[in-house]
Amino acid sequence: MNLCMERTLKLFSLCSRRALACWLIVVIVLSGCGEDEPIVPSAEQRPARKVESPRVKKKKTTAKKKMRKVAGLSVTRPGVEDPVKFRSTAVRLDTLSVEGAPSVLTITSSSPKLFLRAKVMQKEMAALKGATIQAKLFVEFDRNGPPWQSLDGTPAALEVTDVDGKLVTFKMPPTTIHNSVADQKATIQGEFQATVK
Amino acid sequence: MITNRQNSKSSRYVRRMTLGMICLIGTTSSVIAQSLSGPTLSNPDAPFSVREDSQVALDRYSAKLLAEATERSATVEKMANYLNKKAGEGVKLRNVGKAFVEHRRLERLCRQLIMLGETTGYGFEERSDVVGDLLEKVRDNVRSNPDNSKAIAKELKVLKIAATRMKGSLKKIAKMRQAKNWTEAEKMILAVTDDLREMRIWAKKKTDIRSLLDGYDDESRRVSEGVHQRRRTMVTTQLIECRDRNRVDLKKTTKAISTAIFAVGKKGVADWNENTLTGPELLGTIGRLWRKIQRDSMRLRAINWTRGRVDGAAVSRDIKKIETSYKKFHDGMIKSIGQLISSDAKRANEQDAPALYRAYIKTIALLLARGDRKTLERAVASPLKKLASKSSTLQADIKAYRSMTEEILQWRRQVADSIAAHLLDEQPSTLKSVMNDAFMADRDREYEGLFSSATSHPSLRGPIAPVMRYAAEPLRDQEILVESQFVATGAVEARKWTSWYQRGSFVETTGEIDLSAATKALEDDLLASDGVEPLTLTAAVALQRAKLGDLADLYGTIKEVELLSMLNLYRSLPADGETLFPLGALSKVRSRGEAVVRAVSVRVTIAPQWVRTPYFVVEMDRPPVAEPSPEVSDKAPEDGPKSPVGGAKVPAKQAE
Repeated sequence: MNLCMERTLKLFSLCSRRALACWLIVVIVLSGCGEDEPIVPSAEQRPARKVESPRVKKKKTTAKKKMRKVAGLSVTRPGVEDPVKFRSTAVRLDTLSVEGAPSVLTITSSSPKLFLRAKVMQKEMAALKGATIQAKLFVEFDRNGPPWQSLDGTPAALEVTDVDGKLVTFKMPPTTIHNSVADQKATIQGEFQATVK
Repeated sequence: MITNRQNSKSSRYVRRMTLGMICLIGTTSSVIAQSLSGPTLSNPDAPFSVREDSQVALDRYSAKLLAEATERSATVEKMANYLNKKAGEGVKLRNVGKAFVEHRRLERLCRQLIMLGETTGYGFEERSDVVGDLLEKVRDNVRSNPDNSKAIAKELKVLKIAATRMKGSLKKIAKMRQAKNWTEAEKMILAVTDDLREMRIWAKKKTDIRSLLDGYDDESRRVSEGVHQRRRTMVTTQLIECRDRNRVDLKKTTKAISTAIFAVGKKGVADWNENTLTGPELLGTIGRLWRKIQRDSMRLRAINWTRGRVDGAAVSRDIKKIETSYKKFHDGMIKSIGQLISSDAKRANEQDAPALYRAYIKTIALLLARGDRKTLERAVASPLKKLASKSSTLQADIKAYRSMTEEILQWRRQVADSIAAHLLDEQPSTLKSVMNDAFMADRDREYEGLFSSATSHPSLRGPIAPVMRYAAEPLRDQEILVESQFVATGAVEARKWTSWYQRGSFVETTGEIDLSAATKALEDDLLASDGVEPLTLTAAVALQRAKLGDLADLYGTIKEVELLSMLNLYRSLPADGETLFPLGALSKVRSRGEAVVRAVSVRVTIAPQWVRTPYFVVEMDRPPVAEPSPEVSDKAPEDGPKSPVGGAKVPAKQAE
């Protein structure tokens, strides 16, 4: 506490009175002196929450801002008025150490269920920027319903427009998917962003 | 009937042929049960074929008896039907007598076939009983017609003359019997029997002619017993020889496997039949050996069943021993496989581990695709993990590969399930349900069928032709779903699909099912077409099963149903008996004695409409087209032939 006071006097000569008052509050709060009960609740008392550094917060905010810029991936089905939009899209790139083996890019979304899978030769996500990849595509609109899918001969063409850290932007031109058991088609398209997992 | 000279030739032949057969084991035809035949929907009167190992004297003997029985049965049926049509009017008594003699000869052939363990013996016997009843009806009609009384009296007079002739013959027959010239004795007594029978059928009571036939019955019984005993001894000797040659030394085999496993643990290789094998190679060899031992054990058991039928020997102890020894061997094999991988893993270093792991996965997949998957998977899971832990790169690769393939397999399965469910009616007829409709006994309709309860094995319960005629309606052109596992068999150019043998029946397909395009698409999804070997058992088994042509379901139209002798099916199991029985435990057959010879197997031939593997569906009229391998490209995808991922065909209107 004495040390704190000495430092305070030294600073007094350098800073304005207002600044000093602020500093004092901070010091008292951090050292907890003069208080029986802590002002900030202890770890046991406060709900578990991940403490994020301002830098991470800033990145997230930027990512959110970026995500708002694109319309997202959506499906239009004949007879269904509003297009279905996919939320929380995630992307991953699995690679093998085997020489010459392709990597597999997988894009998933949970609601409705989406699965996009493409074999690529790139070993890093960043290297995919600017490439157009051909992917198999599965969609499940209804848990009890049949899956919809792209046909073997016509995979979805997907352009990787941007790779920015943990966020990858894709652009899919209108692509037809088929009900796996009935003669029904739907069109899936849009620019969307997926978070790297 | 075998003459004396033929007999001595035959015994020499037996010895040579038995040796021939031993050399032949393991190289027999690869197509299951192709040499076997029996009554069908189209030909309900067809006889069951007899055993056929091509070089065994017993087979020749059976084949000779079958040929005779077929001819005699046709003759006697024709005679009986002709006489029955006449309804006792204008029938010559001698012709009726001759028909009875023919019938009697047929009965004798039936008994010999039954003694050899031939189901066809019972088949002919059941037919012969029907003919016998018809002949008795004819005889009664003729006898009840007063116009025939004079002719009957004349026949009985002739019988008296024949009886006098017989007295002289009986002395000669007794001499032959005492000299143990059984062949000649039998020939003579049968001639006497036929001679007498032609007339004795007209006697109203046995007592009326007892004095005439004095001494005949006793001599006939003695000769018959002697001949039968001799025949039994001959057949039993051959069967015992056959059994001993087929016997598998499981202890020796188990010891050899243990030694090889120990060597792999020490040096990474083992000596096996003058070859040096790595761990995975040894595993493959053990797997093939296991399959062979399983097949041999089933054949050996069938030989013992036959032996039990022939000489009434207490073979149940032998059969029990075969089953117990095999069970012990089977359990030991599962442990050995785990031990082999474990000891190899313990020895392997970081550099060896990846290649070793891949090789093991490939070999294990083949075993899993053909065997008791759950048990084997449990046995190898931990040792494989141990091996993978030797290399962090390998571990990372396995993790990545799982991530690359797990979801696509799930989606493929989901699509295949949806398509199959869509293609099926709400309640499709199954093989089990149509079998019950066609072959379950029905007391109200006095229908014997092939079984009395859904759990019993099909068997001959009466004349088979009426059963097949009755079954034709519920079976022919019936569309059914066969849920049991199917495997491809036969030559590559004419791949036939056979289901596993379940509840006494199995299914074969009429023609080719082309899975190549769908398999290629699966290979592509699992990166196999890119030269990446599967790193997870799930993927490796999926690929292996598709390549082998394993089907999970088959939907199709019944084109034919054929009954085969179960005993012959087991006795003639070819080297790749795997196409009927999965690698693992011996199939359970409760039947013994007469029941095992009466047991039949039902072969159902189906024209497939669509088939499902766990990861794709293929319809017969429009096969799927493999997709091109997706790769990084700036070009827009070209239009081309299309089919949904999951391998199903695309309805025409979907294809753009």
